[in-house]
Amino acid sequence: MTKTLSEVKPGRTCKVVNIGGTNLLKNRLLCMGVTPGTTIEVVKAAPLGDPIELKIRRYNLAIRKSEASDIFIEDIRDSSGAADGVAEGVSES
Amino acid sequence: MTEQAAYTIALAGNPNCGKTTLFNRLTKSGQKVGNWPGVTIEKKVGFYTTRSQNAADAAAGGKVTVRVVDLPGIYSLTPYSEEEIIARNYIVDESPDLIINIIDGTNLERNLYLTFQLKKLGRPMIAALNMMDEVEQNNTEIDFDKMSALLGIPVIPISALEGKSFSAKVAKLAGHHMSKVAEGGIDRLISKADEILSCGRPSAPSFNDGSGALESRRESHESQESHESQEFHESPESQKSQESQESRRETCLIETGVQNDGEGVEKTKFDPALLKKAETIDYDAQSAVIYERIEKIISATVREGERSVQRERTRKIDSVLTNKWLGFPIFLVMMLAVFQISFGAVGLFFSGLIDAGFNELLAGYIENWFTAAGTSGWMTDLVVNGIIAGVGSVLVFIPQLVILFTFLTLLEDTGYMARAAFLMDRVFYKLGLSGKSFIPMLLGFGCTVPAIMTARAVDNEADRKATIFITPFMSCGARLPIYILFIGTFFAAHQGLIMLSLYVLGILVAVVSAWLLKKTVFKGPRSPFIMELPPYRFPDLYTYLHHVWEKTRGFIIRAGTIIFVMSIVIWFVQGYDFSLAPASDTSQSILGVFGTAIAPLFSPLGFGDWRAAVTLMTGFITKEAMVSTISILFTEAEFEALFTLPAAYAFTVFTLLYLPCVAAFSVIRRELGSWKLAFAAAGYQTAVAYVAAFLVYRAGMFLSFYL
Repeated sequence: MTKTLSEVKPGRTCKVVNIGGTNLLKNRLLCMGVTPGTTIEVVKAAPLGDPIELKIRRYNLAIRKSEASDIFIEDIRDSSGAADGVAEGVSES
Repeated sequence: MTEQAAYTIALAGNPNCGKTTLFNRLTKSGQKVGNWPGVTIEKKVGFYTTRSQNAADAAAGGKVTVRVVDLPGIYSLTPYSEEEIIARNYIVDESPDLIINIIDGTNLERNLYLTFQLKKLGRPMIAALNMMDEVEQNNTEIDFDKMSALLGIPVIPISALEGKSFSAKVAKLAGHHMSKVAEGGIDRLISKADEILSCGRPSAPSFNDGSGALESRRESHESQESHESQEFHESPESQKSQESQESRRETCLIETGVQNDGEGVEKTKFDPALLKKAETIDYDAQSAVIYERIEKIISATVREGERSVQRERTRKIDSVLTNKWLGFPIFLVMMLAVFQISFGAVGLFFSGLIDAGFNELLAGYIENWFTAAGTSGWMTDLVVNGIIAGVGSVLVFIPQLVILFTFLTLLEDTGYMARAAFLMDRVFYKLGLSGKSFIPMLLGFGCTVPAIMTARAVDNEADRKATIFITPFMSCGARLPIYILFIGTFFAAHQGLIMLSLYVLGILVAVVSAWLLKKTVFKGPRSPFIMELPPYRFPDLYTYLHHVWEKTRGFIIRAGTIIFVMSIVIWFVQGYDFSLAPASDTSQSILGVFGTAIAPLFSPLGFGDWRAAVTLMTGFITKEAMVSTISILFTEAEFEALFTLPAAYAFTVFTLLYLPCVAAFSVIRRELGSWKLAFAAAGYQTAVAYVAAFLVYRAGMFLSFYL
């Protein structure tokens, strides 16, 4: 099961696996440095829930959720670097 | 001056990298602002003189003029945006002698991407690492020599905030950290540029050597032509001497640190028409590879500091300004304040000064002077009531515009506008537009003219045009007096409600129009919303004031040209009849006859009187003029008798929606870049006004009949 960036909650980081969508979208994201293997932190969502703010390659980028859902990702962690499952385990206890 | 420039330098860089500031530092004098051919993207050209080290130039007195062309701020050189196509084609077509690539030193990874793409175009290049003051603040260390060797181009650290510039002095006084490594950087940048320029130009037009994967996509006729010219003109001997010249130049360039990395130059030009089918092009598969190389270069040359002052500051500011609960209230308060100051008491005060100075003092003075000199009556009338009154009615907007641009440019140059678009995007996405359309529409409540001008910030062409079409529906301040007159006369009991209904109707029509236009005329692939949120920075003072001035200047020039001519035309048709003799009465004038002719058109709307028609026509000069026209043409009793209640409301609705004033129309024409589209916009607005007024009048008749 592949996850997309739109499923990542604010405060979490993840790694880009691949980019789908139109050529226009794919190429513009690639040019902006959203390349496979890059770490992305989801900083926050706009007050109305969309777009979202990302931190990537030491700068901040805003994209819509619809664009984020074309970015396939893996390895979701919280910002401190703990893998997702571990973080949730802690919060549950 | 243009023709005399011996060399051309192109400035290229990402948005927000300090490119404009460097441009201003390099070319304090002789700047020219225009548009790139066929588009409304600004083109800035400036000049500076320098002492050349080239023998040929030295013989000519040693001083050479260098032309500096500021390319649009871009992230890469793909065919996916107009700016990128312009920058790319400029470099390919004009072959500038040198490219200075300005790089934000605090954001090397993404900035170097453009550097790699620029290098592929095969021009000599220098990288200017800007913002070194901030880099040092973070204790980040960069090995410039190593980076230069790895990139194959000279790398020079600079800080726009250094040297004797006014901004630098202010920054020093304010206790700003000044970069040590960048001290004298701009001078070093210029002398490095001189060195490279001294190597001279390539002796022959550079040939497209076959290269790379994109060969097939190249516009084929171009490479054919150059091959042909090679075959026709080159004798073996001249080729040989050229080759040696060429190799001397190569050696010279290598000595200055410019290397061709041997990967093959790829001079692809892009046809702007590609934009329309951007969806189908898969241009840059190399991105991931380039970013990998950038990462390697950075890890070999940069030791990241333990602090990140700017990012921390930006994060803190954004925790308030784009906060889930505070973001919108702060934004609205800020916009209201800007609005209130520009179009409220402060702006009106200064407008009043201009009005008094220009329209009364100057007009009175000239009238007396003309009379004393015995100038004929019509001449005095033309100058005083035609030209001065016409241009003056537009000049009174200038203080409001200056104040407005002072604030808006501040919001833009600090980085807040990107946040405003971030906040508002969701709302406008629903209409088929983007968050960037919000500012023009909001400003439309003040004055349509600056509103249309700010629509430049909307990067998608179809969205921008749609925004320009709908912005005039936002009820501008100049329409207020006519509402007040009608509402005060006919709807005294429900003033607030009727007034509100007009504003709301304007917004509704704009929203429906946006949706409709995006579905039909300005259909296009929905462009993705990918926007950098730059760190908050204090704008460079000189650059900031320059921005404000440029925007104001654009308006003044229009007031001096188009509006000047229109004023004369309107003065004439208002005061003269068809036999070109002064009309005894406005009804006999060309305007009056024309008004009488078109008056029946307005009968279905309830106001088929020639005076109402003439009033609407003078509204084309300025909306404020409508009130004075009414007071000239009607007595109070006539006015009250002519309009029934539904007709009065229909008239205000028509006024709200029909074609904008001359000033607005001329800006619409300029920003749309075509008379055809400008007339289409005016026609669309008038048609909408007609339909809306008709519906309102009929509904009103129906109600008043049955109630």
